Amino acid sequence: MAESVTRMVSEEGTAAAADFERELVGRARAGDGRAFAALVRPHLPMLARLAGRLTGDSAVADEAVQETLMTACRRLPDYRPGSSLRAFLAAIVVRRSYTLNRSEARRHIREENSEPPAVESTAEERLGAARLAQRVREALARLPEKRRQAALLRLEGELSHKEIAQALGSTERSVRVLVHLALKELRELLGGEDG
Amino acid sequence: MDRERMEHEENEREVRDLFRATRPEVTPERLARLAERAQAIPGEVAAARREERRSAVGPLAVVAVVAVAAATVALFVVAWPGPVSREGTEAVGMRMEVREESAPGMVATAGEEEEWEEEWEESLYLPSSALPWSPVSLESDSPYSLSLLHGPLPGTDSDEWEEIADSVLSERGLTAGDHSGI
Repeated sequence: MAESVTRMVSEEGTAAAADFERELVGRARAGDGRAFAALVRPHLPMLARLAGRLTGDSAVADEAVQETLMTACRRLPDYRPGSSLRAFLAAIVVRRSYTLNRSEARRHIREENSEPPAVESTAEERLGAARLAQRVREALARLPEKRRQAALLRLEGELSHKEIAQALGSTERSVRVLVHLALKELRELLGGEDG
Repeated sequence: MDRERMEHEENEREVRDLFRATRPEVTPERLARLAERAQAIPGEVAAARREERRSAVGPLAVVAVVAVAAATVALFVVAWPGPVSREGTEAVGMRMEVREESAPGMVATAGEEEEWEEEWEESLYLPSSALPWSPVSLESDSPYSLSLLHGPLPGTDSDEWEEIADSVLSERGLTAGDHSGI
């Protein structure tokens, strides 16, 4: 009995959240900036981390996030409220980050103007962590694209397999396999770097 | 729990730890800037869409003008009676037939066909207001049927018109209101 009541409350809460999200999406589509900001604000840290991981530069990462928000705003009519907005945004930021990364011009600007990526660590560890971060990026770059995206969305975006499937337009079963293979390969590539 | 699953979980734990250790820093200031930026985006997107629509109006207007011009030319070519021909005189006849109800008329003799045809040819290039007479119908077997109007056409001096009408009628031995020739 208590379980079913909890489930009902949870379902009602989910339905209310979906309604609220639907309302915000509608207002954002009508040009309401505050509604759009309210929609995306909870996902900004995840977007910034994913973009930072992929680009290795905070300035370029911020640019990728901003372009992601622009694209998301334009494509809001494609988003189905109640599904995962996090997955919707994550899929865009991964593509935008790759696009920026591939651009020779951006790379040039990055080399000239940007600072080394900042990481969550103490001052003593910063240099080593930056080196390690670079190793992680290099290991990621060696993965096949879809496997790399699945790993990133899982490890950095902390998306569920279902959300990753939504983001990649794949099935949950395929995503589990992709993540498994990616993790195995990453572990081999990064072996000895974590100690 | 099977061995493969254990291995997978171990992989995930180790790699996740590595990712956490090298996680890009996202400061509250950066997040605040991004949130502020997010707030401005719907307005920019709406403005960009308006601009796209506006810039699309120019070419559309040109296309519309060209289409209307082409349609007008096509209509003109199709509707134009052309040089003197049976179709052409029929077209004039149809135009003037409306006036027949209040107009007595006369019939041209067979010998006058050619003469009237020349006049029709000329009339095709004159405004209707300049015609003191009008053909009302054209039968395939001739003679041509003509009509004289009771009153002056718009823009025609009534005295002048009556003079012309009398002269045309008298040439054929008819008087105004005489339908005997039809």
